[in-house]
Amino acid sequence: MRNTRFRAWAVLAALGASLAITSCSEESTAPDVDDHEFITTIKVVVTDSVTESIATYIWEDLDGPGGSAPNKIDTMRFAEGGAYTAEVFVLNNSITPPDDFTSTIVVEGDVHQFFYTRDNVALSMLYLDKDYNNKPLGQKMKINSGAAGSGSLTIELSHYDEPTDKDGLSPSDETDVSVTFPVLIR
Amino acid sequence: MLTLLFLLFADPHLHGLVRDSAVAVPLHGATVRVVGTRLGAVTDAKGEFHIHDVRGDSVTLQVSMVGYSTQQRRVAVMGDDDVVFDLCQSDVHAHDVDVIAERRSDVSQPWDPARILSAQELESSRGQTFAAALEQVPGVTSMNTGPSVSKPMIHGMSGTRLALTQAGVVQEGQQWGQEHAPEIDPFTPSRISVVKGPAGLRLGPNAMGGAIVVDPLPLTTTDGESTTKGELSANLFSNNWQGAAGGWVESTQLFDAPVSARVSASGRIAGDARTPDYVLGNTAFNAYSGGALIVVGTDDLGAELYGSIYHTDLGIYAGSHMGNAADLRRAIERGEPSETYTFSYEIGRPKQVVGHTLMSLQGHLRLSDAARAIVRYGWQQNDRSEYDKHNTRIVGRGEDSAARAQDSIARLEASLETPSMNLLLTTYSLDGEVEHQLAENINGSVGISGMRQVNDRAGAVYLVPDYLSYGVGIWAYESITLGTWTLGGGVRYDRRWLDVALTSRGSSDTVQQNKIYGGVSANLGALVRLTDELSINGNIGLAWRPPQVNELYANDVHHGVAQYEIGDSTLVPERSTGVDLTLQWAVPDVEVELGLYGTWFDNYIYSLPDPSAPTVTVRGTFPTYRFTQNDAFIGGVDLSGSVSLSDALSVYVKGAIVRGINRDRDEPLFLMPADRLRLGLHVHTHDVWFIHDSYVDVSMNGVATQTRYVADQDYAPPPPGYVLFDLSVGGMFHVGEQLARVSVSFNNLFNTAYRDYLSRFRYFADDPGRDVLVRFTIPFGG
Repeated sequence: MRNTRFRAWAVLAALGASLAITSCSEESTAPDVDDHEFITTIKVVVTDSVTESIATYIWEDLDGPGGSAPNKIDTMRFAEGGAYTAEVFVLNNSITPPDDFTSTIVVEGDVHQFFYTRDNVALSMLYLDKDYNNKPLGQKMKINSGAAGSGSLTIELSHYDEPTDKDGLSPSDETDVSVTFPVLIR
Repeated sequence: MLTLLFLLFADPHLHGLVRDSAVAVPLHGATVRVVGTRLGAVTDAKGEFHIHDVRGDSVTLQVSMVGYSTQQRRVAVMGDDDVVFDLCQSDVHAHDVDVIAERRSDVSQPWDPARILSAQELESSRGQTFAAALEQVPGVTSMNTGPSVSKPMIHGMSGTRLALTQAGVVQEGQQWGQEHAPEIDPFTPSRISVVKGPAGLRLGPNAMGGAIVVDPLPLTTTDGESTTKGELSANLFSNNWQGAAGGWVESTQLFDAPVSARVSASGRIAGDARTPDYVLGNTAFNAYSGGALIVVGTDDLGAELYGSIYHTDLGIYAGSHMGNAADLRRAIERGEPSETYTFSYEIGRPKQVVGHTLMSLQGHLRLSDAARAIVRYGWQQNDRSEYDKHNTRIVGRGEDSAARAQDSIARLEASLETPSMNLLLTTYSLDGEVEHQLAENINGSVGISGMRQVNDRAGAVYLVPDYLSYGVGIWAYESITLGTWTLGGGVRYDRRWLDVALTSRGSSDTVQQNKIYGGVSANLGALVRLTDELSINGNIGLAWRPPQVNELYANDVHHGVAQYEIGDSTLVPERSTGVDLTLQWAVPDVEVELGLYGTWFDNYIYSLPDPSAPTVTVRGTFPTYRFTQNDAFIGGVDLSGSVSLSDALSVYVKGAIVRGINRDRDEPLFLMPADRLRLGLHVHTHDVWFIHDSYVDVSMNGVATQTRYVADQDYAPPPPGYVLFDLSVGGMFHVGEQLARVSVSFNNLFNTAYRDYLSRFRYFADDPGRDVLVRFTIPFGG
């Protein structure tokens, strides 16, 4: 009878569904490789506009968040009343060869911006580069140093969802980099 | 002709009351059937039922309820008096062969009954999140991470202090996460009971605060004739333009044998939620779920197979994943989203994708008139992937720039499919139990439980490691009824072994750690019917839980809250002693239930900020939170009551107060729910035009400001309290021969802007605004 056959199918379907479930494996099929970008190092290359001498300052935390504290935080040194240009590089030094994200950031400049905040020290910063929408980027900066003293400089990289979220002045809620270098002006 | 007209306009109608014979309290959720027809009703909160369109001078009514012996009686139709049924709690001795699936996973003890959600309560919340349905029980609140993720909290306890079971199997799915909601579809036809208070005697560790027991509705195999019936439901929610539909079909006595089956399925899709002022971007979600139940055999020998699948894709509010602590502080100061989102159904990052499959196979054998054995095998798998808001800067690798460009695109595409974290948790369980009756008034049960659990993690985020865990538990309880007293007690011992494989980022070395934990759970209590109107229930319970893997081994940034969490692998189990007292007073027209409770914890585990040592990362500085433990106390009062002002009108009240204290530090505990009170008016009319059993319910829910918090332990003080109004209208009407149910509810009727302290998004966004829910359910067959 039709009724019985329909019921038979219902039971078989239910049985099949529930038994098929137990054949799943216990191992996650998601790749375990950390293919997400992983930033370990901020490298700032400062060129003295007058003498052309180059100084490289590094902020680095090779094992990533937690674990050991950042292994290298250089102190930036400037001469009193000096003029400099600086370039920032964003790297993953925990792998060989290291990943250098800087060119990607520049290419996607419309959704990135570097912000520089000084604390207790006479530094003035000027954006030297712009993105496609003519908004500042900050991978290249002009730095002028004032009177002697010591303090710090914080470099932050903001990542925006859309180019329209970037107004050139406000950081986003998604800060990818925020590192603080001690600064000495002599 | 006149007789016909009379029959057309008169509504031959049966009404009555169903009560518990021991304590004379009305029973809600009891089923009243007119034998030989498809007519029936379910008793409401006052224990009353109404059945319409009854034909004939007299009919036989059959009244049944899980946990009670079924009664049958011939009654006159259109009699003047209410028909009253006093049901007796069923014991093993009864030879009722009609409902064999009744006592499957009845985790409440006879001296401490669980609170069962009535059919009305389930109906009024059907289609909403599971935790929202439970909020109707005083003392139960929900912790929300946006509109799609809702975790239940009983008496200020949640996560691994609550046990959730489905078809007798304890649900395992990363309960430690504040944004990990129980993977149970509220559409499936179930009986939901809430145990408020230590439930460790029947469920082992991780049930210190209570338990939520979800059982598929009983399915008979030998009662009456073979029937096929089912139900279709559809819901529409206006706030996030959510549509949900579900249905189930069951067929009893297939192939003319004691075999019955039920299949259910449901799906839902929702767009972004909206607060009164703005859209919460990326809060869309969708889910589908299916279940099957097959019941075979009789009360003497039988088996049940239950399977369920649940899958969901949830968007997590776009403005909630902060880069670092400074970003979070800026967002808090701003007080509203930095960008304007437009409503959509799209789910982008950050998002969660969760799948949960569960199977429970249970067999029972009646050993003698006074004993019955039950064996249950459970298998479940929880597959959780989290996709963080992710920076798509991928550097191509290769010999030349062309190869690097290719590689960069390929790796970018791959990375967009790769979760930041994937956890696959597989759990096996095997339980055996013998229910027995030592004497006419002495019932008890002994049992043994075993479980094996494997966690396999993948991805960059490190909040829990891989592990393998085993557990064994043995338990026994007895209860004795002497006149109006029911006394009972039981004890359980559990042992847990945990083997953890720890890896640290960057290195491929694994360090093995092995942990062994053991503990005793116990319960001793009494239920007394002092007078016809008043009954008292008191309990003392011991409970415990081992530390969870995230509490032991966490070592990463928790982006949602901009905290760096560090576990402590030397944590010891939490142990608690709980005392509770419940008074139930019921007279005609008034019903009150008052519960008082207090739980003393040794080694309560929580995370505490360490302001002296913030974690410095390339993203910035995060406050460091370390898991630690202290002695604590959580106590409070639950109140519910209703007064019938007239035949149609009643008022009701529900309230709860929770106080949590860290006894060692003499400070309030973090994230305790604020005091709350709901006042409501319910108008119930029998018939309005063609709508039967129509009702109008209007209520006001007030939540106070949480003033008990430690100022430097949180990014912002608790949000102010709020008052919301809800309105609900509904009834039943005939569609052909079936009675369809329809309701329209207005939650947050006045579109009030508010933030709840228990919401994860309280720092930077309001809770959703007005939601208009339209619900429609139609049964078929039968």
